[in-house]
Amino acid sequence: MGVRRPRGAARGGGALIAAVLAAVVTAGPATACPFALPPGKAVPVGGGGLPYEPGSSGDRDRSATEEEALALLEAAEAAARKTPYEGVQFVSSWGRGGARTVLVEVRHAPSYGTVVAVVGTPADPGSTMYARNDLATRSARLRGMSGTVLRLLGRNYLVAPVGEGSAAGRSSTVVEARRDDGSVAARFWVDRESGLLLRRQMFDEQGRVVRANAFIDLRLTRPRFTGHLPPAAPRPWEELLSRGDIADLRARGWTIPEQLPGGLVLVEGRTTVARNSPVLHLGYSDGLSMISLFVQRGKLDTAKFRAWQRAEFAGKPVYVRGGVQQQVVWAGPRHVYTVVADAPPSTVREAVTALPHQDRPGFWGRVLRGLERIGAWLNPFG
Amino acid sequence: MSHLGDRLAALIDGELDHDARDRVLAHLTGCGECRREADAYRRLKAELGHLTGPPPSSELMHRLLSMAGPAGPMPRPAPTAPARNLLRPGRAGPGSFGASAAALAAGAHRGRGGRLRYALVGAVSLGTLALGASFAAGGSAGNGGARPVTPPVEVYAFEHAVTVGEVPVVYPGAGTGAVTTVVSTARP
Repeated sequence: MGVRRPRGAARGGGALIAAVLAAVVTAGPATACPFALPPGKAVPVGGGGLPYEPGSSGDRDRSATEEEALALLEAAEAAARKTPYEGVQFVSSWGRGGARTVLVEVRHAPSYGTVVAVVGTPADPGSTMYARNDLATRSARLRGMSGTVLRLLGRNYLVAPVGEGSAAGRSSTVVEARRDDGSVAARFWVDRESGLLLRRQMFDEQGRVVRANAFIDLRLTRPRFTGHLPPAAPRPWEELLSRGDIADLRARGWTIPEQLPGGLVLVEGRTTVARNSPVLHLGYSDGLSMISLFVQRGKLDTAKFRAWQRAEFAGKPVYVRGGVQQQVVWAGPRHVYTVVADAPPSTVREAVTALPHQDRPGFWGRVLRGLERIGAWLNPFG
Repeated sequence: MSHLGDRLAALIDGELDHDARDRVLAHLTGCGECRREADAYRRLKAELGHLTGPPPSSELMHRLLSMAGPAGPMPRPAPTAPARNLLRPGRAGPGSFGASAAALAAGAHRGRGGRLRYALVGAVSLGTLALGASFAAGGSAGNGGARPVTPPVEVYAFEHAVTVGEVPVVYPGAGTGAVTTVVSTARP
């Protein structure tokens, strides 16, 4: 593009800005956002460094319009944190199974936090939860972009404002993210008055909407929290994985790719323990899509997934459950893998296919394996 | 030859009608020769009535009994079968060991080939069963005895939502944190 990149942009630029709709916060100082640790804060558990160290390689020179667009998205996050508001938002996803939509009522008071209520229906009761505002916010889909995700967005897509628009009855600036082939990957509507992110759409390679978040009603008023606050939202797993942790796990046989197809890179790693066995949470993003990969040792209990849809991704058997989030479960050679994604279905499919899957033997291979098992049953001491 | 001819034998056999019998009896009263002939007919007829058939020989009896047998189709007697061993006088009736042995001996020549066929069929059946059992046992690929795992997808879904800032679609208050879609519509 021939435009010199602004100084200081190497680590994703300025302050993080909150955007609308707090999902659920929860990160504390010890588990601060891995995308940009607050200065002076303690290094997360697990040693120094983060799985993803934003570097300059892969970055490209951006034009002034691109920088302007990225700045708008960055500013939306601060606006969502500092601006009192209440409103109703929908989250929709489209796939082979049709459309799924969730309606959410949001009330945000900067000095208190955010109450998020998923609207119930006769079929589903819905629920309400509360996220404290004094905790470092996590990157939100409608809260703008944090440093790392913003950098990936700028690296993988051409981001630029494309004009004026309207969302939730409010005048807004429309920002587009385009792929290298010129197709539109996402659109963002940023409120001209408050800087809040009002609407976001994601498109697949064929130009079809696959995901949308949008306010259908927004009032820039300070909400009143009367009565008891609803239950607090759970915190994310607190133990972050450093690059040293990642290397150690790989040496012990855990598959932790640095990259996945479609420009997805490892941006975060967390771990917890379940039934005395570690479980990894690996976060991948390309700046738009967000995929969480959960890995745990063991053999998949397929009997528990009979209600799921059994599919094949490139000939590899998986269990799929559609919804606002995409969920895929499958068995690897020594681990069980679970993917939870906010991404186009094709992106999810490519990522899942690239990860380890259990080999499927042919007829005689299966017979041989059966003979070995029968022999083991007959001779437990062998 | 009597004066009455065949009518005398018919009289003795009771084959004459009433009038013919009267005329024959009237003649017998006056004819001594016919009366003596009529007496001879009567004695001959009486002797024939007391006669019975000759009893079957013991050998024939045993042959008939052995044929009646134990139940089942009768084996075709082998040309070289030592039948005399079975037909001893005084042997037991139906179901005797001898009778069964006779049947077996009679079929021995043909059974050798049948057992081979049965063995071959049995071997093939066992082999197929073993192959099928092995195939079934080798079905679900395991991790060498690793314990079965059921990933708590609902928990993972919430962990994903809170880390990426997406709308929480899991409900922590539900215990299991079940993922719930509030509104679901099919694509038109």
